[in-house]
Amino acid sequence: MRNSAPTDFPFKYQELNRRRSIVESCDPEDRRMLRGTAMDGAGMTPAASDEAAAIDLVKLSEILGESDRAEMREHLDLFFSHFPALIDRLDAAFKAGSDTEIATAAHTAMGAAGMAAAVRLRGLLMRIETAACAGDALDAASEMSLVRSEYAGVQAFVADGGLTDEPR
Amino acid sequence: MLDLAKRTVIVVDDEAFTRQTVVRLLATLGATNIVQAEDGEAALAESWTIAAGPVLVISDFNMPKIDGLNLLKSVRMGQSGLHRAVPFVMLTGFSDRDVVDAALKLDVSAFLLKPVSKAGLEKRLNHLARSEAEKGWLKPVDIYSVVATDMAPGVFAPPTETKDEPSAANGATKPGARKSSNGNQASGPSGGPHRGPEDNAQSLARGPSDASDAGADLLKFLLSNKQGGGHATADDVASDGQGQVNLLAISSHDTALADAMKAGVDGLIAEIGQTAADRITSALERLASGDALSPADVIDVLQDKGDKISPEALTVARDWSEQTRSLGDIPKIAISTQNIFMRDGTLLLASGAPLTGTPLRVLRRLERLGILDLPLDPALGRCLVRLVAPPEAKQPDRAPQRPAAPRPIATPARRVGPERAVGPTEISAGMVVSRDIHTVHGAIYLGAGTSLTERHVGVLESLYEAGKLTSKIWVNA
Repeated sequence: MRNSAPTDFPFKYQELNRRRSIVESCDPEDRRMLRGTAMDGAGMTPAASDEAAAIDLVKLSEILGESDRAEMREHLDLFFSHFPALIDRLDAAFKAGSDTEIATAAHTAMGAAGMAAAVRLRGLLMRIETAACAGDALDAASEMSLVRSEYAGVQAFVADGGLTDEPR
Repeated sequence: MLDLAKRTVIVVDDEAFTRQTVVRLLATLGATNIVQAEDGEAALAESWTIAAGPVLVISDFNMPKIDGLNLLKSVRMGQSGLHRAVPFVMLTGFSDRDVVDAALKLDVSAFLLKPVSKAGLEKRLNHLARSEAEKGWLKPVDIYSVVATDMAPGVFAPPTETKDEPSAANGATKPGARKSSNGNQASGPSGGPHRGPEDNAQSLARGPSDASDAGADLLKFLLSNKQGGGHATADDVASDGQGQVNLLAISSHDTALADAMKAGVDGLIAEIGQTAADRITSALERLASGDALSPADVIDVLQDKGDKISPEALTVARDWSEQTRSLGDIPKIAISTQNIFMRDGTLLLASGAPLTGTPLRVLRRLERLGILDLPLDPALGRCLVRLVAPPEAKQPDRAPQRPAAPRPIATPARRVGPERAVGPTEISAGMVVSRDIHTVHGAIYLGAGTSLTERHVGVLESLYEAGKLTSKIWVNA
């Protein structure tokens, strides 16, 4: 009825998430085979690829407007103090089995992960939100395991001295 | 940039880490007086405790209790302790699909894409500083009251049950109960369209998908615009067929809206009188059953009110010709031959509506507010509407006779240059939009002919950065 002139952004976004879902549902061996092809997750957003660091330090310095490591550490400590509650909320949403609750919890957690520049964690939560919005079946145990694993990766990144390097 | 040192900033987000990060960034930009709220309800409560002075609101959308959109709606409707025109920045993510269009209708000041960065925040504050002095964009409460703030199911959690508190506090009731609560409702103190605190609280309190409330609001808005701003009384409506005809013609194709309005009529009987309500209900029943009103239908209704239009005029009307006129140049007797929409897609007047009296006043008022979705002649600077009307020469009070061609219309409202496409970062205040600007969801944000203000520029840039805008904007520089 009305003429609209949308960009291809939303469609690209959906397509990339669809591809990402496929890639992530493959076993690790298949995933390696897909790398470099059109189905490769690395082609979507470099930050969300397997090789990306748990924390994107460049992004983090953009968010904070500075690259002082002590400030970054303080910011991430704040993240660590709040994020477990968001994981619990997502877990509860999965247990409740409500797509709306899952999407909402994932959306909120995704926002927090983004503010911490935890790009892989953010990408994972974005995929969960998108899938929940679309009504796709999600394996609760598997998804929560992935989320916890990614979050542990973020913690490990900081604990292992990831903040000691200069931003790229 | 906005001088944050002299301003109270309210940061609203239920997610504490994001909220505290935004607070931290604001502090580095000079804010000293920052109020944090974990949802819209808390923000509204805080708003009444804030000392006089400039305020800035930065709010997330997705929150329990009262979400960001409803908070914005409350502010714009004067239901908070803040000035209605307070700068309001909406935090948004790429996936916040439906938020944008509703927020634009509620005159959000800017969008801020998450994750929020210091540079991004600073940029938005710079734009706000440039546009803050602009006046005239704030719309009447009635306009904001009909903006739907319900989101697509499955995208976000629906607001939780918070509805009773404001309702109870303000004595608000559902439409069906308005008979008693609004029985003695009269014009507001200023003589303008009146929405009492009950109504405002009710709009806030109602469920997100309460279509009958929306219908009642629209119905009431049209009634309240009778006589150019005064609130219609039972006598007004009963003695003036125009008001009823206007309502008859509102929604000949939108049966859902007709149903909603029919439900809304129940709550208005005490105000407009049983006879008028029966007539409206009957007409709406016809509309809800899919009957479209033709010009002949309207003429028949007008004929019932023979005191309004002379038999001679009605006879002449059988030979009316179709013309295109600007809203500022409608003949005394004319009937629209096109559906007239508002920008949000709401069908305001269906083909067959008489363009006289109340409907015309409403249309002109909406045109001034810039929310009519009618083709705009860039040379005239006015919305155009197709209509049937008697030839000028046959109007009894016109002599000498003129040719049947439309009268020359007013001088062009503005001079325009050649059309060109610009990127969102190339636009500036003073440019005239030459083609409708759509969001990625297809809604029109600005119609062709709009002269860009600093406020528009800031919103457009933030829309673009949030991925919510088409990439090109056509302007007459």
